[in-house]
Amino acid sequence: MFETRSRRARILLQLVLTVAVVPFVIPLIAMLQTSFEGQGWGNYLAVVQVPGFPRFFFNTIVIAAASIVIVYLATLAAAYGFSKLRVRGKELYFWLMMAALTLPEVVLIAPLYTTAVKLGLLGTYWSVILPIAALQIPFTVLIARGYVDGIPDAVFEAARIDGASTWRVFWSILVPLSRPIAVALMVLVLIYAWNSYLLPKVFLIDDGMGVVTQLPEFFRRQYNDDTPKILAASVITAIPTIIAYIALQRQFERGMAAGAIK
Amino acid sequence: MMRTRFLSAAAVAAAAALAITGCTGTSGDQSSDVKPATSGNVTWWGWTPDTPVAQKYIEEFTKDYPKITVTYKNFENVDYRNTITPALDSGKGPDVFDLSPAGGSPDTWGPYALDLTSLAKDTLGDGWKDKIGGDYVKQLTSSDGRFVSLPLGGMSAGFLWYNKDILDKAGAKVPTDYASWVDTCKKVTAIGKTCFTMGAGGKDTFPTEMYHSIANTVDPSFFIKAATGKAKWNDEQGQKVLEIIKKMKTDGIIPANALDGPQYPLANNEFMKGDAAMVQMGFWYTQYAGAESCKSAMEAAGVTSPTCFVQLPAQFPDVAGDGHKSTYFGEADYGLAINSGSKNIGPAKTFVAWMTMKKSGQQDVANALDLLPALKGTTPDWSSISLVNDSVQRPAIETLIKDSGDTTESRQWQTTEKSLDAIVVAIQQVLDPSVNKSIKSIADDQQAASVASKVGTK
Amino acid sequence: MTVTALETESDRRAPVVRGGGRPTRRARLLPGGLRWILPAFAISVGLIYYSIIYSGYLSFFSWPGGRALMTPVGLGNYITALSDPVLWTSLRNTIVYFVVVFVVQVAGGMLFAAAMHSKVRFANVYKVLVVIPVVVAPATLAPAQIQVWQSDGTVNSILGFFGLSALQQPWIGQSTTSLLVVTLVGCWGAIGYGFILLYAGMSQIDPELIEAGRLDGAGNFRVLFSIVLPSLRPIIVSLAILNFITALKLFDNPWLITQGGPAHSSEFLGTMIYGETASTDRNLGYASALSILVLLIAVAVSVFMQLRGRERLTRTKPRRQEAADV
Repeated sequence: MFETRSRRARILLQLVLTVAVVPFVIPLIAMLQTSFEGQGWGNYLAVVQVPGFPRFFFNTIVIAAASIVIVYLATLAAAYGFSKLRVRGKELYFWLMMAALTLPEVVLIAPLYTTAVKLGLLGTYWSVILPIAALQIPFTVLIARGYVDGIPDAVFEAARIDGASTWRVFWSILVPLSRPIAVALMVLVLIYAWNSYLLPKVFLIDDGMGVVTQLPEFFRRQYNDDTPKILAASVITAIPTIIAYIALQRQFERGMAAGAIK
Repeated sequence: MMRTRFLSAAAVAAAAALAITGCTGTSGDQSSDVKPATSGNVTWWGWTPDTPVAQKYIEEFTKDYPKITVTYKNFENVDYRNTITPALDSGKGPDVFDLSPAGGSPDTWGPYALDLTSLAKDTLGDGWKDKIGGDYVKQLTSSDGRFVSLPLGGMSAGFLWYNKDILDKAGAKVPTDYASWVDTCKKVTAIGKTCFTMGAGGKDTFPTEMYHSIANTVDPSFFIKAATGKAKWNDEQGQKVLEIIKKMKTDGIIPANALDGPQYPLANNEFMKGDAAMVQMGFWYTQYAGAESCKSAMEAAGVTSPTCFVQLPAQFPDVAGDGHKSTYFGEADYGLAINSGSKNIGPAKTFVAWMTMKKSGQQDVANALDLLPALKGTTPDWSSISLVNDSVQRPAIETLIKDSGDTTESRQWQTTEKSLDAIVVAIQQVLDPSVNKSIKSIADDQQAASVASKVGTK
Repeated sequence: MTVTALETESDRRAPVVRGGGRPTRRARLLPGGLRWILPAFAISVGLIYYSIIYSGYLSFFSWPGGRALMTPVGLGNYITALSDPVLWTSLRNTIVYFVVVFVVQVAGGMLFAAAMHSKVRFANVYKVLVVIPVVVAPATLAPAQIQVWQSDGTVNSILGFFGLSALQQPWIGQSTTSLLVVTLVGCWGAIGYGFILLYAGMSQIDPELIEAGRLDGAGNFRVLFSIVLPSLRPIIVSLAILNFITALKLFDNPWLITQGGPAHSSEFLGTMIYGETASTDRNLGYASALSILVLLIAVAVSVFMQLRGRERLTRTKPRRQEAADV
């Protein structure tokens, strides 16, 4: 986007970027540094030796994957509906959904718990997946709708003129064209689900249902937290999300190339 | 049509909410005839003790009762309250759960618990109330007279812990009053260490112990009077306390970074790293006199290959200078309650009785050097405890235990959370360099934000 | 075929400013949109609305939770809330936080996204570093942030290094600077978030538009402001709404770093609500009343923002369509 004709301009851009990134790096370095205090690599060893360690990752992956799939499908469908289709009372539905964004999580716990018990979902993955999806959907729909608004109607016109049904148009046109924003949103949903702490803590009490955000808890004490180990746990927990982000970035580049509005 | 369907769904939901919340249920006194059993499964939830400590208790318990399996789940303080209520409401709660005297808990969660009077009587006999220390029984009884939680142990505070190695190196003495404290601090800072570390930032109520200790040197009965509404926080004594705190900062006792964070981790880490000579902590800090726990505490504070220092308790100096000794204060820290809706009341009773009233369980509590055992007459078994420096620390700790047991003043039982929060805010305003309010107006605001407690008063 | 072609022609020529409404093209939108938005609607509204109603109901009581007595207090909780000076401090903090973080997020996010869309070396490294504050949970990075802002921390060290020791102060421990710390930490996390979304949004921009601009002699920043920014308007409006709601219920960072202190100087409604449920002396009815206030303010402001944003959108849209036809 920035055109850098001269070598000097290119170096300037690179330099500015590097300086700009420094504030992001400092706390990271501090975090890594502290995680090696005390017992050094022993901290990481202690984290990996927590009983049921792989199970935590498994559960988190299940929850994150399910949340992503549900949010992805619901969001694209809703963005399509709000942006390109006719719905009576459209804005009312939209704003009712937005209102769901405003409640802080801690207020939701008690009523969600009752709902989960009544529906028999307590202790199952669904008791966490559904609330996560419910909390992310208003936000993803808000953004996706704006993005889909920006796809010229002419594209959809052309497809319908060729006789495609609404369904076909959705799958063959909307989905590929929204890939960039969909990938971005799914990354954010992944991060939210992966880092979700309060919901799994309250709803997934049973053994074997723990999630990775509970790993640092093993090193929290009533007073004297073992901070180096807590940070080691956090580093280990964060690595998969970073890898996922990088992988999704690739997807994203592909989507951008394909999404040229031609 | 969608709209009407939505509205009717909303009405149903509201009705359901009404039904659930309106229902108060009956406390299960019918199940108090269940006899303690020797086999079964028990789930235990609490914010304390830490998981490794709980596991040690459970190990010992299983030696005596191999057919009972106990599983403990630890929660952060706040998560505990948020989780246990819906769990108990929906009938999916644990069999045994922690219940403390703080904040009216006996009234809030007591209705879910069994009345344990009969269990106590069966285990300790008719004079059972006298066999349990302090006012613990009273503190864990709900306002409708039900004894809902058997105390595991008590907590005391109002003293200082100091690092003997640093004081020796600085050639400083343990302070006994304001002047000697200033002097000690000069000597300690001269060798590059922090004199007194304190974390008063955030919302934690640790600073209230500081206020309480200072108040006790100004006027021994003031704190409880103000807490229960018989005096005002902005009376002359209250203002004097705030003035002393301000002076302590100007004279170099309270450090400049006191508001950078809460007591944990700020003050704790500084002390455990060996960077500070003194810190104000309660009885739970005794455990770090132990050789092993000292090492792990130092590692947790970030020290690699630590060498333990000798930590010792000291009386809080008479900072007001009127000759009043700053007495300790304390109360039951927490107790165990049995869920009246539990399906495992039999084994739960056995477990709770063992932990709180049997010699073997209480001995473990005493040996942990974390709580003061509830069962009178239980003292630590020194042969099984290894301290960093036995000859120096053991007599000091024994005196501390005795003095703590003698205390008659409560710590937080008779102070409402609002009053505690108001104290913290007042201290923060006194220590904040960007706040220019007068002591009087800070104290006035403190009084306005406080709420008098009715607990423990006739 | 003829009908639809005619309609598009006339739409383009007709003026389309109609306060907040979409252009009159609505007439030719396909019916049956309801079944498409239903899954999203059912999940989010279905699950959350029970909680909203429950909270609304609870806000008229005073109740510590559990089996303690529920005392009806009518509008008592709301009156207490609105007459509590801490609430107004929180609202002030919210507005300050929102304005600063939103501006920094859009400006910073856009600049980074634009840079990443250009030819830069090590782009992937930058992309990851900027996003780390977003990826790693706030609870994890908070201790590091606290370290940075301590009296003997990184910021003060850097100030000393550059000879600005006069500016060194206990950032966290002062009621005048605690909000600054929370806001800056918020910005730090927000830039990566904005970057992810704006980067995606920029991919939607027709490169020919940019070429056209350059041919007309526009420099880098001109291109950014006159071509890129308008196309990103929908995302920016959405970000404004999201930022405002986030600022209203803000909890993680202030709680972890300052816990709303010292003396409530960095308090937010989110921390007030959590503080109420966290204390042993809690009144869940009061916490619910605060949540309902959050909800009402959030919806009102969001609707307002969306309407303002939409107006601009309809005004600029025809221009874009013309440009696209070039």
